[in-house]
Amino acid sequence: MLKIKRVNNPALRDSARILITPLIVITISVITISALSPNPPETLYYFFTSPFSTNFFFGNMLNTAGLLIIASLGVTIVFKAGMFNLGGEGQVYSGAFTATAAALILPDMNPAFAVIIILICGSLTGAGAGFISGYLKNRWDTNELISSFLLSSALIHIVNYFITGRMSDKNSYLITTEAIDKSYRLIQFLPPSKLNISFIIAVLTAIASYMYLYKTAGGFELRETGKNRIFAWFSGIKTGYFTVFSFTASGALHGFTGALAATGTYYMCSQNCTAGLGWSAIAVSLIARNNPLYIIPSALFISFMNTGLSGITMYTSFPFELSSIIQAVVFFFITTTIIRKGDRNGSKHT
Amino acid sequence: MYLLEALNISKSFSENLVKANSCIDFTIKEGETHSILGENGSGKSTLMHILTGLTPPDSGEIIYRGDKTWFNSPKDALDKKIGMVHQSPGIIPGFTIYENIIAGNSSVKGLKTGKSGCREKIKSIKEKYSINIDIDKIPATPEQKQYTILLSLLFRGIEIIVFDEPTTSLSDNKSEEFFTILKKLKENGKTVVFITHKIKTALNISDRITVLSKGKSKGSFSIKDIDQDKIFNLMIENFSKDTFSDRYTGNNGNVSEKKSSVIISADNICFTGRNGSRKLKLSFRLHNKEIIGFAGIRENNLNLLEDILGGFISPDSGSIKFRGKEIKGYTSAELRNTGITYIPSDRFTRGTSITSSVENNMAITNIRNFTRGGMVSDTKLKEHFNRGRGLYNIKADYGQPLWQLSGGNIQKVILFRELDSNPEVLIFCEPAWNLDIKSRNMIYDNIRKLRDRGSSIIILSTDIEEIVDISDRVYVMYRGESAGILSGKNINSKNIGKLMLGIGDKGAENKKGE
Repeated sequence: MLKIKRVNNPALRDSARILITPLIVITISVITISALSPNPPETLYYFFTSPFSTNFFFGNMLNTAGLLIIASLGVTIVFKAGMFNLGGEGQVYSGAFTATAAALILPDMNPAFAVIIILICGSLTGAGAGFISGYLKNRWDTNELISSFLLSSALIHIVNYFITGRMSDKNSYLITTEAIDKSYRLIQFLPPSKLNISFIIAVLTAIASYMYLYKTAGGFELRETGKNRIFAWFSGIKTGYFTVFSFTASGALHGFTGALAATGTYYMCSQNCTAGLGWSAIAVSLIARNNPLYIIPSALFISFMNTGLSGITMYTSFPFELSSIIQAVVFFFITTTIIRKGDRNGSKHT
Repeated sequence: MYLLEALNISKSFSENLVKANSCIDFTIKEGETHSILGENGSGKSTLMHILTGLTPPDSGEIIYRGDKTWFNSPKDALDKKIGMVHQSPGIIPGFTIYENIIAGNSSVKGLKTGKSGCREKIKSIKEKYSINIDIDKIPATPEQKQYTILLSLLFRGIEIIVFDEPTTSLSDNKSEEFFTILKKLKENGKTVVFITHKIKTALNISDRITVLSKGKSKGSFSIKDIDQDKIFNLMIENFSKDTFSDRYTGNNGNVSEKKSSVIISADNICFTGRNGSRKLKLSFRLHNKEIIGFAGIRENNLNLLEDILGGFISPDSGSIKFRGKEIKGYTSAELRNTGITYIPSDRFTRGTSITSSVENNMAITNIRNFTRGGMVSDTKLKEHFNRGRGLYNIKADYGQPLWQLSGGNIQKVILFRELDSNPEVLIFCEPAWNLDIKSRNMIYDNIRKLRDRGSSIIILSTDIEEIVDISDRVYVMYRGESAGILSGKNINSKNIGKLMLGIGDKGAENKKGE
């Protein structure tokens, strides 16, 4: 139970741990790209430089990072309460869908109000899905990994039902809803990239989450619930409340991500538009060791990886499928090396 | 001369750092019936699991028929003709006894042995050892399962048979039947090792007895050289280093005789677990300025009482009143707010959050009081921490994770947290947990000080010495009930030990008469 400590300075040990995963990930990617590419030097060059080469790539990298930050905060808050939310994919996607639907249904009104309503709609959808898992966990101790994952899978199909059916845009060659009205879209920077105000919102949300988790009494109680549920209950903390609350908040953050993606990036909800966001968010929060502040660089890193990989498929003959495989390897590696026995309950995190 | 010798066997289970076996020497002679006696948790089963290949020992050696041996698996042991009948043996569900016996029996592989041959062989075994059981039935009761395994072992021609508490699930009649089988086994030259905690049973059936206590061997004795009292003394010796010491009579000699007011009265609190396995039935009184001790083993006694008193489970019936107010079913937090604090025996799971910092562990029960403008105030936490550190001389730094502290310091953190609110009642489980003598005395002093300041204390402990040292009155728990209440001069290890082992008042009375 008690482990001998090796490094005395916890801050030093933490940063070492946080830096080591990206370093290994980069190494693996370099090796894989060199092994698979017909022209390794050229491919590696574009892998590292393309994210910074044009406004388009750079802006998109930041934009993706912004979405990842908020979704990862959703992963983190549940993790801090000692659980895991595997339903991110469905929560993000359904959030994007309801936000789009709200934008299409809303009558003409003040755009600022409208956008707020739209974002709230998206967040509420995710929150609802999260609440169900949290409630089931608290009421019957239903395994939250299973309930959140299954519910999320179901949500994806429900959304697809609407997108392909009654809500589909007959004039589009894509399987998608109609586009959101221009006045209801988020403020853009750095055209032609998709970068928009959501990146700033994401950084602010990360800081707010950090303040909540580490500075308020509620955050203290939530973290203590995650560290030792029995002791927390014994100490008078409402552990059941934090189980439900953390899951609901997590779902809300995921839904919020989806809503931001719909209103700021895609301007519609096309089939599987947010696919992969939920999973990448897990990788991001694992690299950040579930600290909301570390999530910002961690999201930038994952986003850089993704942008670099799409860069090389654009600039070189490196096939798209291979770059997807590298992403998968990286994700697999991150999850398997970071989640070890005992880590799930946050027992090694402060 | 010995059939099997186990020398210097040690085994600890890393998850709780308890030495289950510590340097045990144990020998078996061919054809004898050998009982292993010990309280629950004394290491009997662990030793037998080692000898039957179920668990590898950390160190030590096993010599079988003069050769050094090592069992990697139960199969290795079976190949050497050593087998074990567990308390509730695993059988193949849905198979009849007959099918269970021939399944997995290497001698039946292939078509060489016809089924009829097996049937006859089993039949002759049944007659030889007078085992009365219908082999075409599916074994359902623990008894039938035990016989299934026994038959299966005999079918394989096993020579050394280990029984793990076989009679606990049997009625008296059935036990007699079982002892007949044991006799037949002995007549037919089988060697039997019999694990039990019942002294009388061991004396009746064995040739030799080995006594284990707290993972150590207290020696092996021929049945002629030992009697019930000697065995009893060996079994309880470990409970108290200074075996028959009279109790510490502090300042408040006979508190119970004073007409002091009742703080907690528990009447007929009953609890029965879902499958009837956990049972408790108890009434007790706690008076003002009194320390009462509950002595007993953990299983089905103290742990259940702890869960009820600590607010983790609610009894099925009865009442617990605090100053006349019903508090049955209160949660730990509600009890704390009422003025009853509780220090759990499991300091790591219930008592602390070991990955949290020291100050968090101190402030957690009252975190809302350490906020300023909605934010947790570091200054307030630090003040609180410094006060606790000064008061209890805790060796820790602000911000240090709790797991880096020594057991004594962790204990002090808990004490500070639970006593800081000046509780009227303290429920303290295993006060001396993991502590050296110095820290122990510090804890005991604190408990006495608390009493002298007007609080009442309930101690739950498996450590008899400790109970004798600090209690004004003692309830001894046996099988979920109070086996006796001791006070004044009657509080000594011998009386408590006898009651704990269920030997009962008679024994205690005798000693008083001496």
